[in-house]
Amino acid sequence: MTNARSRVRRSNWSLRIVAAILSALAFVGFWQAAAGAPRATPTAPTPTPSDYSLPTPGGVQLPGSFGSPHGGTRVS
Amino acid sequence: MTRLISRHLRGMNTDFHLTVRVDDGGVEAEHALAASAAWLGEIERTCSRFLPESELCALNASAGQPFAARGDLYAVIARAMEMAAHTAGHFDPTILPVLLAAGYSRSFDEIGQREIGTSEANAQAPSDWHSGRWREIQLDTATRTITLPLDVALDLGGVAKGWAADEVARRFLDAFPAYLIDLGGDLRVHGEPEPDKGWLIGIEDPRAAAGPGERAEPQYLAAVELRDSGVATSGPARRWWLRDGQRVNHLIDPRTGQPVAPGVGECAMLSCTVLSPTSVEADAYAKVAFLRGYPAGLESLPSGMAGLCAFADGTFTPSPRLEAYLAAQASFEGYAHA
Repeated sequence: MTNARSRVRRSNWSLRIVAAILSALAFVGFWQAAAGAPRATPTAPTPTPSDYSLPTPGGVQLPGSFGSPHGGTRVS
Repeated sequence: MTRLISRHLRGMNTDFHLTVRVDDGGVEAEHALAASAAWLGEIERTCSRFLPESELCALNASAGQPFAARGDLYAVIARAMEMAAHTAGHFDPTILPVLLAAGYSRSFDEIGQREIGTSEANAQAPSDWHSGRWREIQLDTATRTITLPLDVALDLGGVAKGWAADEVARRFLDAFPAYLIDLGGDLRVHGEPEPDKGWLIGIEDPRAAAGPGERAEPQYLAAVELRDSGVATSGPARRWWLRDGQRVNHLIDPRTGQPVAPGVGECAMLSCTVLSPTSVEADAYAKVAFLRGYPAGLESLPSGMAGLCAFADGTFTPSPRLEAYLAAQASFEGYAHA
């Protein structure tokens, strides 16, 4: 009986520790998101030195972020 | 019912695409597009140096004496002279002798990306090439008379498409709520093709520029949303040929009379795109920006213009004013140009 209660207590503590870790991670993630911290976007092109931060709509849009253009300027 | 009506045609050795938004049956738009196409054909017959019967060839043959030009030839040359003055001669319509010396003696459909040998090209620019002779050209507005100095001949390839795009807008499409004029990649756009959306314009990846006659699907590096702007891109990626195995392109540096040497390596600049209130300015300044190189070409764009340069590694860099330019284009009411 005592051993069973101990196992329950240990189990409870394990659950509390896991919950605390998850809460901490969620807390950090929330503040990262709120602060606009950059996150990996696997489908986006690799950032380059020539990257920029321009507003959309109306800003420059990289491939993948726009649909089919109405037309295009060609090298001439 | 709102819809887009388009017309595609071939002219000036390139592809033309005209698109108009109509909110009715579209009969007037069809007429306007047909009139635009017919006028563009006239302009080619007037301004082409590859058509011996063109008015431009007649003007070049008359160097040294006054030439009474018809309205359109006079207008496009007057605009070319303005561009030469505004760019301090970095854009120069008198480069025809050096273009010929470089081998650009036939239309690009015939020489593009092929070996031409030395028979049609001299290895060096003409020894008597002097930059700045555009200043000696005399224009008489009252009589529409043009006097070219002796040994000066004009090539309008660097300005005619841009000027024509502006004129199609002004003469034929101005009454429509939205239109896109694409003359071989020199664009003029106006209005919104659909509610609350401007024209989405792709900027070609110069590494994937198709060769002459190829119909490859264009690949774009980026896109910009525009509501009232001209756009043009310049670079050596498409218009080049081989002379004894050496690659030569059509971009002549008026300061030296020589084709621009293409860059080498990942950092090489492959193209410059310029956004401007008019297509003719974008056309001229795209070439000038490329000639001036990076970053001077972008930094020296006049106020009211913006642009970006694309590089061999697939990256591109915007001009300092591109963000403001695009922000002004984001609102249909707010795109009055600075």
